[in-house]
Amino acid sequence: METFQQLMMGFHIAITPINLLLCFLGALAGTIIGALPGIGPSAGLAILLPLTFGMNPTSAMIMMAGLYCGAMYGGTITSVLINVPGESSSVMTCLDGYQMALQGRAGKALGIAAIGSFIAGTLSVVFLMLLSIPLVKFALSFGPPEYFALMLMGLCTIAGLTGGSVLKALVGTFLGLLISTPGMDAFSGLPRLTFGLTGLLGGVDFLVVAVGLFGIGEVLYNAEQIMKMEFVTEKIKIKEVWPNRAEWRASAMPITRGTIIGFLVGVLPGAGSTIASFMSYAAEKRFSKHPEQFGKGAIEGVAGPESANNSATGGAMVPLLTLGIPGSGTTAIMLGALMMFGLQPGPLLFQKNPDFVWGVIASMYIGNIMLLIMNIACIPLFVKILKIPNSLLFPLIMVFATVGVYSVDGNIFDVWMLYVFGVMGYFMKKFDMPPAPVVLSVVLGPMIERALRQSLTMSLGSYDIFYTRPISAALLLLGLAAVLWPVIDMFRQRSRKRKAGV
Amino acid sequence: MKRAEKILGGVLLLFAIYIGYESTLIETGADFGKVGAGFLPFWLSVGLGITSAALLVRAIVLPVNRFTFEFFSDRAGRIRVIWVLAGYLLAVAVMKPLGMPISLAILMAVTMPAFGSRSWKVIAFTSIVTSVCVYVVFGLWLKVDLPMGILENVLSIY
Repeated sequence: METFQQLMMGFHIAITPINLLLCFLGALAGTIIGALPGIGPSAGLAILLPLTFGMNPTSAMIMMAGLYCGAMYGGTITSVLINVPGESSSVMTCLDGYQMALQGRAGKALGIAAIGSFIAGTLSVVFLMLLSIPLVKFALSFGPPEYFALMLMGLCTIAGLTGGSVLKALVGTFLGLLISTPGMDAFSGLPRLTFGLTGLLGGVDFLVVAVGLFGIGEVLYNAEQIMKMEFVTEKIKIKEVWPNRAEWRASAMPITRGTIIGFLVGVLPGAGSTIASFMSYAAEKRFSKHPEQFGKGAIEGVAGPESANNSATGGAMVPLLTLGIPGSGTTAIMLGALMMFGLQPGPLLFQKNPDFVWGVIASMYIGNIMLLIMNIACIPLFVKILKIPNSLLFPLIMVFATVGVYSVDGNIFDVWMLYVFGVMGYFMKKFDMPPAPVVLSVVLGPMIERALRQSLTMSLGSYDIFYTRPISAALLLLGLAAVLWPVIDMFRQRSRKRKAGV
Repeated sequence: MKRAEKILGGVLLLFAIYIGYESTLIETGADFGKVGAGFLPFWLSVGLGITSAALLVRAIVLPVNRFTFEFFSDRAGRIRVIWVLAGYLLAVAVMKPLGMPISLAILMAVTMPAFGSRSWKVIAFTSIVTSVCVYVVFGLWLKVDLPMGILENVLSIY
C-alpha cells in the first residue's frame, strides 16, 4: 500500500508537462542514439548530459531514464533493417530479425520487438519497485566496511562478467581507480598525484572520462573503420507491424522468459543487457521445438532477446537507486550525474528524496508507453534519420562532446583531458579493453576510498573488520568468485574439449 | 598485434611503477587507522603493476596465431585516425586565442573530409552553422562562459 501511494506521488511528478516533454525527448533521443551504429547508450548519455545542467535533478533523471530505455528500443531498427546492430545488446536480434526482413516480415520483426520491449520494460519497472523497498531496508544496516565490500564486489563483478579478457578488465579497473585519485585528498587536505598541474587539483571529472572513452574514442574508432549502411529496401515491408495470433502464441513465452532473464542479469553489476540478450537467445533456442529455424527468421529469436535487453534496464536501476552502485557504464554515468546534481545515491535516497526516486520510476512506465507508440508509428521516420551521413554525425559528436565537457567547469584544461581520454578510449577499443570498468571505477573510486578509510579508522588500522563482519565477508567472497569464475570456466571448457578429443 | 600487446603491457607497467614511486612520496601508511593520502594510490599502482606484468608475460608467451589481427587493418584507416586526431589537437590548441566558435568550426572543417565529405561548400556551410549554433545555444541560451578569443569584442555572450 505504501509503495502504491509513493508510486502515485511519482506519477503526480512525472505527468507535469515539462517532465512529460523531457521524458519524450529523452526517449526520442535514445531511440535515435540506439539506432545509430557506432554510438551506444553510454556515449549518447555522456554527450547529452551537459544539456541537463540547468534542470532540476528529477527532470534530468527522467530525461536520462527515457534515453536509456529508448536506446534499447532503437537498437532493433538497424539490426532488423540493415543487419548492423545499433548497440551491442541488439547483436542477437540481427540473426533472426534481418532474416525476417529479407522474407518481407520486417514490420512483424520490429513490431514484436517493440511489443516485447514494452512488456518487458514495464514488468521490469514493477520488479524494480517490488525489490527496491526490501533492499533499501536491508542496505540501511550497512556500515563503511559493508559499503566498501559492496563496491569492491561491484567492480569485481563488472571485471569478471563484462565479457572478453578478465585481465584487461582488471587493468581497466585499476586504471579507473587511479584516475580517480589525483586532486586534493579529502581527509588530509593535501594535494596528491597532480604532477604540478593546477588543473588536476580538483581531480578528474567523471564526465571527461566518460565522454572521452565512450564518445571521442568511438568517433576515432569509426574514423578508422568507416561503415557503409546499405538498406535492403526491395523486400522490406514495415507497414504490417501488428503480430497475428500464431506469432503471438510463438512469442508469448520468449517474452516472459526474456523479461525474467533480463531483469535478473540486469541486477548483477557488469552483466548488463548484452549478456541478457545472449542468454535469452540461447534459452529460446534450447526451449524451442524447432531450433533449426533459429537464424532463419524465427520470431522467437527476436522476441526473447529484445525483451531481455529492455528488462535489463529496469534491473540495472535496482542497485543504482537502492545501493548507489551502478552496474554498467550507462548507469555509472547516471550515478555520476546524480552526484553532480548534489544527490547522494544509496538507500537514504528513498527516504530523503522520495519525490525524485518515485518520479523517475513513474516516468519509466510513461516512457515505455511513449516508446511503444513511437516505435510502432514512427519507424519510417527513424529509417530516414538513420540516413544521416557519417561525415556530419561524427564531427558533430566531437563538437557536442567538447562543448559539453567545457561547460561543466568552464575550463579548457578539461578539453585537453578529453583529448587524452579520447585517445585512450580509441586504444582501449583497439586492444579490446572494455571502457565500462574504467568509468565505473572513476565514479566509485572516491566512494571506495572514503569507505575504506572510514573502516580502517573504525578498526584502528586492522583489516579484520572486512572479514569478521558477515555481510562484508560474504560480499567480498562474491566479488572474488566473480573474478575467478571466468578462469574456472575456461579450465572447465579446456578439460571438456580435451575429453571430447580423447 | 602481439607486438602491440607487448608494448601495452610494458607501457602500463612503467606507468604503474612511476605512480607507485610518486605515491611513496606522500604518506602511505595505515597505522592505527590513520590512513595516509598515498595509501590507496600506492596499492592501486601495485595492482596495476601486477595485472600489466601479467599482460606483458601473456603477450610474450602466447604464440602469434593467438593474436588474430593487425593493429591497424589498413593504411587509409590509420591516416584517417591521425587526420582526425591532428584536427582535434589543432582545434583544442587554438581554442583560447581564437575562441571556441572558431576552433569548433575548424574542428568540423578538418574532420568532415576524414569521414567522407568532399564538397567544400557543404563543409564550409556546416562548419559555420555549427559554430553559430554552439554560440547561440551554449553561449547565449545556456549562459556558458565560452572562451571567445579574438571574437571577445565582437560577440558578447551576456
